[in-house]
Amino acid sequence: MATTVTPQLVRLQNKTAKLQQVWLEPLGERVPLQPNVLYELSVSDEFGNVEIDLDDDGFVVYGWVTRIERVDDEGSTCLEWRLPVDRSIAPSLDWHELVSILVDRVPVGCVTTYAEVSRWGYGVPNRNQPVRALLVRAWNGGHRTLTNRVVKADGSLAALPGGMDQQRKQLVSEGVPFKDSGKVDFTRITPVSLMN
Amino acid sequence: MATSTPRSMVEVAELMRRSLPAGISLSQFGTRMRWGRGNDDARQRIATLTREELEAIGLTKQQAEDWAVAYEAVEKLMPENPSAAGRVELMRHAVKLFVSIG
Repeated sequence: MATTVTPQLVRLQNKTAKLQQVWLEPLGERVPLQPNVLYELSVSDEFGNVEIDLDDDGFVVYGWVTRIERVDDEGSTCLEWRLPVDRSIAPSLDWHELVSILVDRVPVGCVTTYAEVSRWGYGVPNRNQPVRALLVRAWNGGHRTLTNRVVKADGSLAALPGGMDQQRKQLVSEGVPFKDSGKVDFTRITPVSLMN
Repeated sequence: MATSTPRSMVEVAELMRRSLPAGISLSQFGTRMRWGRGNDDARQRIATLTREELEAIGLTKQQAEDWAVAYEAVEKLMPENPSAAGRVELMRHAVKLFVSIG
């Protein structure tokens, strides 16, 4: 039986190691929980009152959760939470278009960055989440060699579904220089611009 | 009428909220749709979902389409979401059940 509470701030405490998650509806997202830790969930009022249920795995929260914080003796820490509340996607952008431009502009031995893809697709350099969505779709569409040539602005690898090891292996085999830190060495290679 | 694709999570929330059947809360809707946890549960539900259940919930064809559109947008905005892809398929199947009954 679900408990109904007033929205805005919900506190959940995981008092047993048996409860391993909070499941968020309607998004169908799972957030893992540490035992004996208090969590605060910020919930907006899109769906009215928040309903909370409990099952064998943990809590189920029915409401529009916008932020989750872990509260402990040292204060609160926002968990990694990927809800892109204030971001939008360009309606006309399709991953096939991204593949086309990567084919045209980023040959073997070259890399480009999330920021470049974001500038090309959205006109601004910081739409990381939609860019990642495009890359994952292109990856799932079988264009892995191309998507592996997109790295983060600091040279870090992009952690696409296939993992960073295979990305690094491909880029090394294509002659892309790396630093000891594991990042692409942008002192020796310039990321390709997709805008020129 | 085709629903325009939400371009942000705020628009996703708005579309989901107005696509709930009349008098049904979010938890009641999820519970009665029985779409479960994650893509696999939703896809398995396709085999058991019936027209009678949809009618009992009070879901309309347009609302089913809107939920499919909403989860398609979630897929784009949250590519690692573990449930959206399966729920798109489930809600598309629900639309087909409405079409098949005329």
